Amino acid sequence: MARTILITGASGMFGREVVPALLAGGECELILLVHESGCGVPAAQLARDMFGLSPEDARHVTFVQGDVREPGLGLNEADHGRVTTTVTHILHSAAITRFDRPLGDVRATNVDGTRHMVALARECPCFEAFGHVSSAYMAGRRTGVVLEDDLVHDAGFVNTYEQSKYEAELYLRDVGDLPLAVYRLSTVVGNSRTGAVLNFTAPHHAMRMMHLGLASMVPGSADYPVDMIPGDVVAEAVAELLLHRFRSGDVFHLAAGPERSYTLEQVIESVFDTFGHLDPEWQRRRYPRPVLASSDAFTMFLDAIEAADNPFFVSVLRTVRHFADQLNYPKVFDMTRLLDRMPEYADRMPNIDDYYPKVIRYCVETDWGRHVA
Amino acid sequence: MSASAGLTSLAYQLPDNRISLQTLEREGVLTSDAAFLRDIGFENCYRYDGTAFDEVRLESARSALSGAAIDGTAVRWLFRYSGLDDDTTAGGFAAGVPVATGSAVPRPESNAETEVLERFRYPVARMQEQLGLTAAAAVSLGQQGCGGLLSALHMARRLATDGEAVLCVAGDALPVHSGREVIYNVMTDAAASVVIEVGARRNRIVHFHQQSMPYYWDTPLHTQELLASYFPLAQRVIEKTLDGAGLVADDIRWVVPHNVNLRSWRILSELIGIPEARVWTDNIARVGHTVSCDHIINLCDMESQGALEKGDRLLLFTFGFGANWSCMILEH
Repeated sequence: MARTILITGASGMFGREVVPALLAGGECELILLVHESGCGVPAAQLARDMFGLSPEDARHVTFVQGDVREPGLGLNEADHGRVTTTVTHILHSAAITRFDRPLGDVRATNVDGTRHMVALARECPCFEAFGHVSSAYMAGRRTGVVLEDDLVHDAGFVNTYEQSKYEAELYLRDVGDLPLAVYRLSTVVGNSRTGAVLNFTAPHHAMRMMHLGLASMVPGSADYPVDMIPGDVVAEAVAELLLHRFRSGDVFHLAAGPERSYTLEQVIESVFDTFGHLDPEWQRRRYPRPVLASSDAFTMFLDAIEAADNPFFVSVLRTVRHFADQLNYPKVFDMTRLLDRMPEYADRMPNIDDYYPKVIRYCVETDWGRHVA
Repeated sequence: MSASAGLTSLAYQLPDNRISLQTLEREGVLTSDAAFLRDIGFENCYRYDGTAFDEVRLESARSALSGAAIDGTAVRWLFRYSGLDDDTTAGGFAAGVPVATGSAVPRPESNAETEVLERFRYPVARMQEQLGLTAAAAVSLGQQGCGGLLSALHMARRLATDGEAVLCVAGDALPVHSGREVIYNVMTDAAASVVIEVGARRNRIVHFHQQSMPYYWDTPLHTQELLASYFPLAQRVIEKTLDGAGLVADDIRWVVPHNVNLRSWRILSELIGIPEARVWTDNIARVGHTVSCDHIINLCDMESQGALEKGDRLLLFTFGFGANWSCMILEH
């Protein structure tokens, strides 16, 4: 039976990788929910520009204009009718992924948006599977090993994004009438083959600060495991899980695991080494590596900058402030359930050494997305 | 070089004119609000309003020599340090240096040649003459910002030999109407002098380490990068100095700071693992931050207040534009 998949968040870092992965993963039609800005452009052109799709693949992609924050996604009547009568699957990845936004704004998209997607799924008579893209960092300030079965905790959160992803999962836990699975992603940093970064997020901004010689300190310990994943690999895994290995009630961590990750100290070393190899002039400046600081020292540093009202540093650190604190809460995302369902995931996940330098190179060569060809 | 060289006599001189933050704010010579600067530890500064600051340097030098109880002929080296480049005026080094008096020969009429010769009236040579250091080699040092005096002490330690002392004289005065705030620090004018001798019974120099970062030489251009680099390099230089001395943070009785704002010391003390209570910060409010004299002022006041005991290990840290990060460990 032909599958029709409604995808939200297709323009995001993960979404742009998962669209081609779904098309490659089996016969299916894709309906992409896009904001107003995407409309007016011919679908084929949009599909080619956003996802690099061939004309053949682009024929299987259509767009509808809407907004997950609105009930019924704000779809017009015709689109609503088309979606509800054809959609068999939903892959919901739309989210505000910035860490510095007010909780109310983030909830409106990340929690209420999820409610609206569930409501829409209930209207689809042929519905088969709801894949919810969550974040492994819904574990917030928890430390140690986090199991895929784990959900409820009282450890608190580093930022509103984490809290909203947690609240969305809490909501989904009580949805008993839909076939539903949750895919908790670790930090997506780029494409494993090309190093391309489709959406620059806080870790990339932190890297840029190091390139500018403005990284003074980073909270956390040298041996903190920094779990980062390549977008293409994880997108292929999610496509496979949704299309071919779906079971309602599944919750999976899609992470790298400590054995394929750098420690915090190694991340900094890799960034500085790669910058130096790419540009001898940069190397000659001998910018110091940031200090690995205690939470107290880092907080005092940020407070001092804010109190001094140094507009340059305040803007530089605004985003970093809301994610760096996570480095004070070392944790490992257990993947036992995922590896039971998809044993080959372990082999597909490259070692961080194999691709992270490509990501760094991409960031430098495009000046963090300012000069993308 | 002798490993047992130390600081046998220290002295400092502050100008008479003590000025409150409110007055500085009223005069428009602060960048930040006075309330903010008070919140980060400052209360006053001292400002030299005269025209011959070398007299203030000389006064501190005479006090240091007197405290060392040595004959001027025992001084083998005289180092005069200024962190502000005083060769930028039209008159070169000689600008502001009083003319010599008491010569048997008349001063020649001004002409093209004497205009050139005027540039060779060196302040350090005048200082040597004024102090009667007839056996000394007099050298002027400069351009290491707030790190210069520690460098001078390190050089003195390497040059000092038995029975021969080194006198280091440092001091700076900003122009009267110039700004009084540099990157969240209230600047004060001061001079300080130190006698370094082999076999010193106190303030033995245990170890010194300095890291320079020449990329930052254009200070206004690189201010933000300097701010970002301050803590990483401060931590690294302090750790290297402790390692070089075979010591750990717990061995340090006092951190003798450069008198930059309290908030930055709170952060740095956390980073280096020495409690804030062991950073002697009393003079940040009382004196403010000098270009090159903070450590000597603080050591003098710590001693006069009874804060120091024999055998105390003291860690002196500073940052200087240029840029350099410097740390010295003394054993009192």
